[in-house]
Amino acid sequence: MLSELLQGTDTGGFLVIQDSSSCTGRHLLKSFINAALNREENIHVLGFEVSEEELGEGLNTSAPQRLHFHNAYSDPLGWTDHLTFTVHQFCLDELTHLVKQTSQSKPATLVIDSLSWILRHQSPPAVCKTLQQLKRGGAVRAIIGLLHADMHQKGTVGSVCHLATSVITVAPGMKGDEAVAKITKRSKSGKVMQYEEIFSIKDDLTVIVQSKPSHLEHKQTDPEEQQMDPTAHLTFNLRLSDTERKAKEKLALPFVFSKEKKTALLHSGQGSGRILYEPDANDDYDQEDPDDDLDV
Amino acid sequence: MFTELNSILNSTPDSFTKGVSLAQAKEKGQLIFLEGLKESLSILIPQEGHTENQAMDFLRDPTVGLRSLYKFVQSSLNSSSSGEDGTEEWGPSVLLVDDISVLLSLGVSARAVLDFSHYCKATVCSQLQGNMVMLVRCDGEDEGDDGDDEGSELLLRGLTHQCSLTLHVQGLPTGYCRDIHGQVEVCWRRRQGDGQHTQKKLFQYKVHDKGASFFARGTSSAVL
Repeated sequence: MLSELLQGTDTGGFLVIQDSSSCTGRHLLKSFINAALNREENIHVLGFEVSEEELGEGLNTSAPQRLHFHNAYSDPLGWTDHLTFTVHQFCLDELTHLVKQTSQSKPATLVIDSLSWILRHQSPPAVCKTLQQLKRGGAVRAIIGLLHADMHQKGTVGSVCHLATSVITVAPGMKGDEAVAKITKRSKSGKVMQYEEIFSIKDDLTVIVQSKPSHLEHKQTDPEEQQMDPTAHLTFNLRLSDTERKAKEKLALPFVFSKEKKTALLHSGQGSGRILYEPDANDDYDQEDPDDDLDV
Repeated sequence: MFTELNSILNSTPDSFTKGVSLAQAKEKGQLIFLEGLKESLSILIPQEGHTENQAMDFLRDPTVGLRSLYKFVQSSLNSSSSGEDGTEEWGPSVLLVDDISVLLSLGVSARAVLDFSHYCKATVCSQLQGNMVMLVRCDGEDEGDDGDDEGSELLLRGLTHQCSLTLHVQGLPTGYCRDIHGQVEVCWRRRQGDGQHTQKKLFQYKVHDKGASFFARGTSSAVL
């Protein structure tokens, strides 16, 4: 799946690469830029976090006119007097103007390094609005953004990733140069697919997928497991025959007070003691059985 | 010896024969020292005749951010690297911050500190090809809410994302030892130019009068 994504996102696609402080996603971002350059696409990079020299290391430089680096690294907040791109210019109008200034006939791919920098200075709803407008508008063909998931609240990360058509979460792998990519891809029909692949990146920024992708469908309910028969495979017999079952059902339980038991107790059998009661003048003798209303 | 550490330290402990005089360096203009504690008094207890140090403006209102402090850094670097008449020209600049977590306790938000470190990196590392070293404290406790905007954890993670090398220094898990003062885990974040994938290494160290020596775990001279 990683290789498919590297071959090009569909128009209107928004890819988010999530990383953390333990494993950087910038190498993968550079691989995506390089793959797009090799396909002769126009790339516009909003570089907040690293300088142009650092980002350009290893990239295909055969056609420098296709890669436009907008310097938002030297002075993103306007503290000095450099006239460079600032974080406050991250809105639809400015970005459309920026891309249209330099781009050729084909719509460009916009790469944002990183979304976390912008989210530190603009509210998440404003950023999401701009991203959604960019997706819908015609100025850019596709957007690729790097997001440091451990720098924001989960809600913020969730909101941004919800806009994305694909999300790649990078985590450290078992070996030193390997990393694990968890990929969530949303197709236009609304189906969500999830993949997990182990990959490594060579010095020329080509990505090598080490293992076959494991394809996980979106969660389904597990079918109920069949009940095991506990009386099977025993050395003794726990089952009942029909006559035994009938006798069992007829058996009166010792502490259940049924009608038969009640009459047997009240009307004692032959030979047992009898109780003779002769009421006094003070006694309130009521012929009715005082226990008649008990539901026993 | 350890080639990776040598490339960071640019020296071996064997070559620490002569010391460095900080006072002399300050006089010559090689060392510019901002003593935060002393300078903060100029803002906290303003006295007539003493001008306030603008770099410490954030003490008056921490929400303003560290733009003034950055301006101080920028002007200090520009004055020392411009090579005015009569002054020596020094090599690449080094910015040492000891320590940046104190700013959090003074009310500055982690966001503002990260902006400051970004600007310092852009000036010192990218523009002037120098180096920057920052000391940051991490408590090591996991905070329940990982989206805590004001926490030292957020600052640590942000600085880790920005930097190219982290040295995580800890005491020994077994406690105090006279010959081994602690362990340091070195993490390289940027790819090394020669293609080596040495990402993380763990060493133990001992601090001497004029430097420190590093050795692999369990190979201290006290043990072997």
